[in-house]
Amino acid sequence: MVFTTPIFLFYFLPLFLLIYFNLPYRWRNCWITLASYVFYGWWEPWFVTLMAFTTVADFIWGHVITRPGATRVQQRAAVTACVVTNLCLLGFFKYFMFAAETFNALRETFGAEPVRILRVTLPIGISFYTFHSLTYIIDLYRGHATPARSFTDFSAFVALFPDLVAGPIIRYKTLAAQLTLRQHTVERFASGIAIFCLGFAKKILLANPCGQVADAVFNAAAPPALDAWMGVLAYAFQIYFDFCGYSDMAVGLGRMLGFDFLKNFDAPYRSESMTEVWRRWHISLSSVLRDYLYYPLGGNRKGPARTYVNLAVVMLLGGLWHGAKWNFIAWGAFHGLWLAFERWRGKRSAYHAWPRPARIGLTFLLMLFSWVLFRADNLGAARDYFAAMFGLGPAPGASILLAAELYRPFPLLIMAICALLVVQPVQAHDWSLEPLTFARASLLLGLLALGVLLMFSQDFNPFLYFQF
Amino acid sequence: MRANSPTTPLLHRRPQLALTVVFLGLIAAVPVSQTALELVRGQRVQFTDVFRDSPTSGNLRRHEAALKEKSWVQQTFRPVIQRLMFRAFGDAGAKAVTGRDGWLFYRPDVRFLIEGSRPDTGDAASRWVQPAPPAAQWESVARAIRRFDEQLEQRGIQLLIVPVPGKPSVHAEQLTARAGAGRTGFASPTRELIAELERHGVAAVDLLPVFERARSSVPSGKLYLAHDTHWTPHGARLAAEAVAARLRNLGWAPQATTAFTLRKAAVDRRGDILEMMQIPGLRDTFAPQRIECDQVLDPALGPLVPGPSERPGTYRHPIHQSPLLVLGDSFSRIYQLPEPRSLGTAVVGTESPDPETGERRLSKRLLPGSAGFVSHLAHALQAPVDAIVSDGGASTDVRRKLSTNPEILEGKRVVIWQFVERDIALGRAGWADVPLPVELGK
Repeated sequence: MVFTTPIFLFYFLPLFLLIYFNLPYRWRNCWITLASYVFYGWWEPWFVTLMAFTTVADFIWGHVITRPGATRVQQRAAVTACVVTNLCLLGFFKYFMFAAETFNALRETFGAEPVRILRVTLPIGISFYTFHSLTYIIDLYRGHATPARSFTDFSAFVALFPDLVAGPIIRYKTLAAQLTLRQHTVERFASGIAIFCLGFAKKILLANPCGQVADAVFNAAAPPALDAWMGVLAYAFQIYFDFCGYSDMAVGLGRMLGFDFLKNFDAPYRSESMTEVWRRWHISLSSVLRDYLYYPLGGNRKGPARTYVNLAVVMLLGGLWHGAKWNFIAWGAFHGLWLAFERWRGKRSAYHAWPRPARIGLTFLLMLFSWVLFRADNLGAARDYFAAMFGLGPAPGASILLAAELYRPFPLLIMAICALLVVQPVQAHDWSLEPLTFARASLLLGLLALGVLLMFSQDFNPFLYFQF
Repeated sequence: MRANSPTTPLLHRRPQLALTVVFLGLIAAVPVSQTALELVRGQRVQFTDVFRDSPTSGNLRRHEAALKEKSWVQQTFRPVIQRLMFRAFGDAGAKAVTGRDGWLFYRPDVRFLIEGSRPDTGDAASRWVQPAPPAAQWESVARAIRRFDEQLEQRGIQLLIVPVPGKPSVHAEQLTARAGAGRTGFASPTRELIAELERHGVAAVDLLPVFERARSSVPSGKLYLAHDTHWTPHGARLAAEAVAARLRNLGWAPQATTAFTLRKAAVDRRGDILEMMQIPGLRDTFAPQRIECDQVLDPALGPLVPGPSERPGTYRHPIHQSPLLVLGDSFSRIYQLPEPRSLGTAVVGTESPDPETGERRLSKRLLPGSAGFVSHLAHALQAPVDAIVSDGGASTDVRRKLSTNPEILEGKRVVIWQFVERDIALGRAGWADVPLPVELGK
């Protein structure tokens, strides 16, 4: 189910809230689990069995790790087995086809016949809930968390529908106390509504129109240079408002249920270096990668050379986490190299001496280049797109007709609004926590109403991060 | 959390309460009012459908789509929003793109040109991914056409392919000023398809050069309708004459057997793109386009229109057995055969008083008939032409109809297969193999 659909907003959510707030407190986590399974299974019912298997297995592994008398060796064996099981499942569903296609390409290189490949459907959100579950096991092993009080608490944590399919990635230790006891107040609920409305508006009013522009350009055979820049700019806005909007809605729904999720975005396009980008973009992922991958690899404790390698490896794997394609790996490598380069310069960008607007502009430009790698269908398409951006591609031919799709009042107006919003400092997460006034409430309800009306009239409503 | 604490006096919590009440009221009001409306109308409560079928992915998607589609909110506000978007921003919605001077274009026509040759990803529902590298969509189409050609060849029938350029191919300058006046002839998968077919000995007619040459000689310079995906009667006639000329060149043209004549007719037509935009009332705000047609008349039968016993979309000359069969889509149907939906109803003539009631009303009938591609091909050859047409179904549906009605191939020497170029983008999935039935007595 997607948050910005009538089935979620007008059927699932009211029914869920009605039952949730009328249940005795001890039954609420059970209801969260059940409803989350319906929410998740709505896309493909058999996916639920996979998530249920992961949940049961990891709950048992958690008890094995924390059982009284377990030696460190036994704990290590248990956590290794659990991590391997989870990564094997993730690896099969997410990377099997990529591996098989690469294997076929290698066979062809050496003159052998390629073989047919089993088509494996990627269960949506598997990357997110696998990470949720792994943080539980690893934190237990490290002694950073205590085992879940009950299976109901743990299953509610893994399946929690607000952050289930596209994050933010919530660690068990962050929610452990809230799973046991959380406060439900009108203020908290209202602030949840506030940020939900803002996220909803970001997605429907901004991300979707930008997505149409981006899709038109990225699908064009040979876009003219100006259109290529327009397309990647539109994609930069689309992916930000899409993902940030989804995170805001997730945070909002969490607050309605009494949970506090951390901020996942903090004005990333105002960053002055790529290092800063990763402190502001998908904060929950970068912190998970830092704590569960970068630090175990040695972090910066094993000398500068090893630090650069670690940064590159972490970003490479981060790219692969986003998708099983070579262009995601290239995207990760691009970021890894920049982070290593900036680390070498003392966490400063190459242009740190320039005025602030120039620093922000150049960082945004680097982000645009990285988005080409991220959005293109494959590495060849990314190369062609870069060529088009610099006027080095083939003659545009019929792609000149793109002008009829791009340079129209509505997309131009939306992109201008996006440009203003990404450079202003106030973030929805903070704004929604400030005292609510009638004027603000009216604005939020106006945005919600407008978003709902447009939701019913839009045919284009994808969620980018579902595929990750 | 910096928000007010739970101990904040109620007075200061009013905005929070108001926001909460209105939000909950809004999300509850939609399903409650929808249910009430359905009960009042005596209809089945829509959302309970989800419990009636097994919860498969397909059923759930279908229920979700139906829930949105039948919602009173959607039915009430979607047209308002779309009309507003069109009026304020010229946004024509998912199906259409607004061009210059009020012209409208069908978005898949535009996308087909912009996207060019794309790899054919095949059938995404298949359990196995075949190792063969994905061919371009036009290559898959060429393969499907060649297989059909081989089937016809076994029956001694020739095949002539006629891809029809979409409106943006011919009138790019009406889409965007960037195209410049008269700039056409873009490299497109259509050119590649035609070249590939010719390489393999399948004859094809490239209409684009024909239209380019003709544009300078047409008074208005327009070969397509402003608000419609289709060509003008003049465009249809030009295409028919080009096909006739190619048949003569190939030595496939039949002997002239009939002295068809022409008669002037005029129809007022509102474009199908206005209909596809699904904005109620929009059609009425655009004046219908007056279209002058040349109706082709048979000396014995008058207009070449199907008799009442003919299957929908099929035309056979009732007297002479035709050696030619046209398989085509709405480009073959327009001005020729009755349209499948009401949008084809056109106003013809002037207001006249009703003889019984005395009320003045416009006389209405379907498009004039016998003034389209098929009739003009018959006129150009002076020989009858049979046809099977299916709107949007030239890639596969017409061959299915032919397969279930194979007697129509009796006595045929040439099949002319017309389809609009955007159908090439359907690729393998849209160009299915349809084996012709085995000939009786063979």
